[in-house]
Amino acid sequence: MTAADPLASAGQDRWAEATQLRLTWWRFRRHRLAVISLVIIALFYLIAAFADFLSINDPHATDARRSFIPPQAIHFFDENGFNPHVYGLRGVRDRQTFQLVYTPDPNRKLPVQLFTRGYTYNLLGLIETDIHLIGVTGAQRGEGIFLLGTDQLGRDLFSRMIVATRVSLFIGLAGVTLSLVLGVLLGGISGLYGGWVDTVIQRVIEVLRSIPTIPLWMGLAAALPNSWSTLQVYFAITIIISLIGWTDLARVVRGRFLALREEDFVVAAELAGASQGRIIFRHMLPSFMSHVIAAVSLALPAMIVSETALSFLGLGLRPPAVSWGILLQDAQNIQVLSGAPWLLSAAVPVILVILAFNFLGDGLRDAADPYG
Amino acid sequence: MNILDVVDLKKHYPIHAGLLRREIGRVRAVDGVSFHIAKGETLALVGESGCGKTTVSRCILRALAPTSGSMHFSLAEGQSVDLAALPKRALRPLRRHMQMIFQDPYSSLNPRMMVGDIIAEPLKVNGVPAAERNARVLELLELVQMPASARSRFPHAFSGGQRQRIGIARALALNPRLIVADEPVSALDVSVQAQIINLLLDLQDRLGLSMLFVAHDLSVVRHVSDRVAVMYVGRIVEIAPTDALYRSPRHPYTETLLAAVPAPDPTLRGRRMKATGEVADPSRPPPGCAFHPRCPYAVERCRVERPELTEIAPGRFTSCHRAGEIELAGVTG
Ligand SMILES: Nc1ncnc2c1ncn2[C@@H]1O[C@H](COP(=O)(O)OP(=O)(O)O)[C@@H](O)[C@H]1O
Ligand SMILES: [Mg+2]
Repeated sequence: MTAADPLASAGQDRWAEATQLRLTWWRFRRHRLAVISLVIIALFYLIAAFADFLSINDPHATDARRSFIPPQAIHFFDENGFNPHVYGLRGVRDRQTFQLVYTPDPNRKLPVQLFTRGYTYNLLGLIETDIHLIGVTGAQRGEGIFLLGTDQLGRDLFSRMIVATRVSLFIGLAGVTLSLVLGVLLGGISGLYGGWVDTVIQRVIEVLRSIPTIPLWMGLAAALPNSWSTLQVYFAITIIISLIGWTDLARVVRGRFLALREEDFVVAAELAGASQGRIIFRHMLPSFMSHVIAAVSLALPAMIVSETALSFLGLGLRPPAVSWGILLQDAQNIQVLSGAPWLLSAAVPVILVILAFNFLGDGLRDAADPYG
Repeated sequence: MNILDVVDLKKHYPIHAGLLRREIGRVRAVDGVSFHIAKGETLALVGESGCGKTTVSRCILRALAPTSGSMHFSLAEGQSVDLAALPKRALRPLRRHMQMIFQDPYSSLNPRMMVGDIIAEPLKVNGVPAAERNARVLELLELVQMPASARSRFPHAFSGGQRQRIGIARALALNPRLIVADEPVSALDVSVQAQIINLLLDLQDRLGLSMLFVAHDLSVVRHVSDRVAVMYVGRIVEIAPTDALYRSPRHPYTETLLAAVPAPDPTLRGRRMKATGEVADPSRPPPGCAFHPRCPYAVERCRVERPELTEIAPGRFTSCHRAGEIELAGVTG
C-alpha cells in the first residue's frame, strides 16, 4: 500500500485523501464481471419495481383459446415501412386430434404501441393506473403480444416472468434483511461478549446447520395452514428461509468481531480511553461493513434459490402467486417439455440473477479486503 | 521518584481441554517479573520473540488483566495507584496518563480515519474541545516532523516510517506520564529505524519522557535506554545500566543477545558464542534455569535449581548460578 500501488495512478492527492469506501469502489470498478453483474442486478430490481408497468398482459388472465402459443416476435416493418405489429390468432382444426388450435395469422396485423391501456394496477403501490409500456390496439378476445409464448391456461409467460421477478427478488431481499438483523445481532453478541453466551449461540448455529434443509422446509411448509392467504404464506416462507440464512452472516460478524477486538487500532482506541460504544461504532462496525455487504450479496442468491426450490417442489408459494419457482413448476412435466419448451425459459432469469449475485459478491469481497 | 513499580507480575493463560474444559496446564507467558521505571528514565525490555515482552507491556497498560502481582503507577508526587488491582471501569480515567506505541504501523492506525482524527482521538475521548484539538494536532505533527497537510489524508498514503510517526504523535497527544513502546521499530526498514530512534531520542530530550522500550535484540536499544532488562521465558534474567550491560554482561543469555549485535571490532567476533536452539515453551519450561538447555556454561545445579534474580553489584541484577565464576563477552566501543 505504498506509492507503488497501482491505485496511485488515480492522482497522488486524490488517492491520499480517498476514504476506504472510495478505494473499495476504485478496486471494485476494475473487476469487470462484478460491475456488469451490478448493472444486471440493478436492471432486475428496476424490472421488479415496475413489474406491472412492463408486463403486457394480465399475468393471471386465463384464456383456453390461446393455450400453448409459441413465442411471438414483434415485426417492425411491413410493405408500408416502419409499422411495428404482431399477428392475430386464427383457429385451425388439428387433423389428428380434431382440436381447435389457435395459431398466429399473418394476415391479421395488430399494431404495437407504447403506453397503451391494459389491466389496472398500483404503480409502486401508490398510483392507480392502467398504462403499460407496450400493448396492441384493436385486439379481439384472446389476442395480444406473447413474446415468450403462453402456458396451458393461456397466460402470457413474459408478463408472468416479470411479475414473478418482483416476488422472487423481494422474497430474497426480505429474507436477507431478516437474516442480516438476526446475524449481526447474534453474531455481534457472540463475538463481543464471548464466554457462555458465545458457546450457546455457536451450538444453536451448529444444530441449525446440521439439520438437512429440505426435510426442515417440508416440515415447516406443511405446518402452514391451508387457509392462509398468499401474503401470509409469502411472509411465512420468508421467515423459514431466513431462519437458515442468518447463521452464515452471524459467523461472518462474529469472526470479524473476534479478529477486530485484537486489532491494534482497536486496542489503541481502548487505551486512549474510548467508550465501548465508540469502539464498536466508530472502529469496529465500519471495518467490517464491507464484509457484511459481501456476505449479503452471496447470501441473496441462496435465498432466491431456496424460494425457487421450495415453490418448485410445491412447498413454498402456491398459485395464484407467481414466482420463478412456480413458473418452473409449470414446466415440470414431460408433456410440457416436448410440446411447449418455451416454458423452460423461466429458468433463465434465475440463472442470470444467481450468477450475477455471485460475481458481485466475489467482486465486493475482493474490493473490500484485497489482502484477506 | 518512580513512575512505575512492578512487583512479581504474572500473566498465565490456562489451557483447557476436553468436554468439561478442564484446565490441563498454563502458559506462563509472564511468570514473576519485577522492575521499576524512574521519572524521565527509559527502560529497555529485551528478549527473543515469545519471551513475554508484549504480555508485560499490555499488562502494564491493562489491555490485559494480570494474573497476579502489583503495578504501582504514580499519578502525582506521593500519590500512586495499583493498576493491577483496579477494575476495568476505574481504569478509563487513568488511561490518559499512559500510552502505547505499537509494533505494526499498519494495523495500529484505523484505515478508515483521517490522520488528523487518529491523532485527535485520545483528545476527543478525554473531552478536549474541538478548537484546542486542532491546535494540538498541528503541534503534534510538527513534533514528529510531519507536514500539517497529513491531517486530511488517510493512513494508506503513508510509508511505514511515516505511519509510525503518526502513531507516536497519537501516543503523545495527552502528555502521558509513561509511554510503552512495544518494538516500535522492528517492523521498519533499517534506514527508517534510525530515523524513528532519533525522533524518540529527540522527544526524550524535549519532553523528558518516561518510557518502557521493548525490543527483540540489543542492537537498537543502546542509545535509547538508560537501563536494560533482559527477559527470557516469562522472567527477567538480568537488569543493568545500559553501558555496564553491554560492556560486561552477567548472564549467558545476555551474552548470546550481544553476540547478535554488529561489532565494531572484528577480532572480537570469533570469541562470541552464537545463540542456538529455540526459546523454551512457556507452558512447559525446563526445570531449574529455563535457559540451561541452550547455555554453554550450564552445570548440574542449573538443571535442578532455579536461580533467583539477585543483586550482584549496585544496580546490577542477574539470575545465574555461575555469575561469579564465568567470564562473559560484552561489546566494546
Ligand atoms: N492469548 C494467549 N493465549 C495463550 N498464550 C499466549 C497468549 N498470548 C501470548 N501467549 C504466549 O505467551 C508467550 C509470550 O508472548 P508475547 O508476550 O507475545 O511474547 P513477545 O512479545 O516477547 O514475543 C508466547 O509463548 C505466546 O505464545
Ligand atoms: Mg511481542
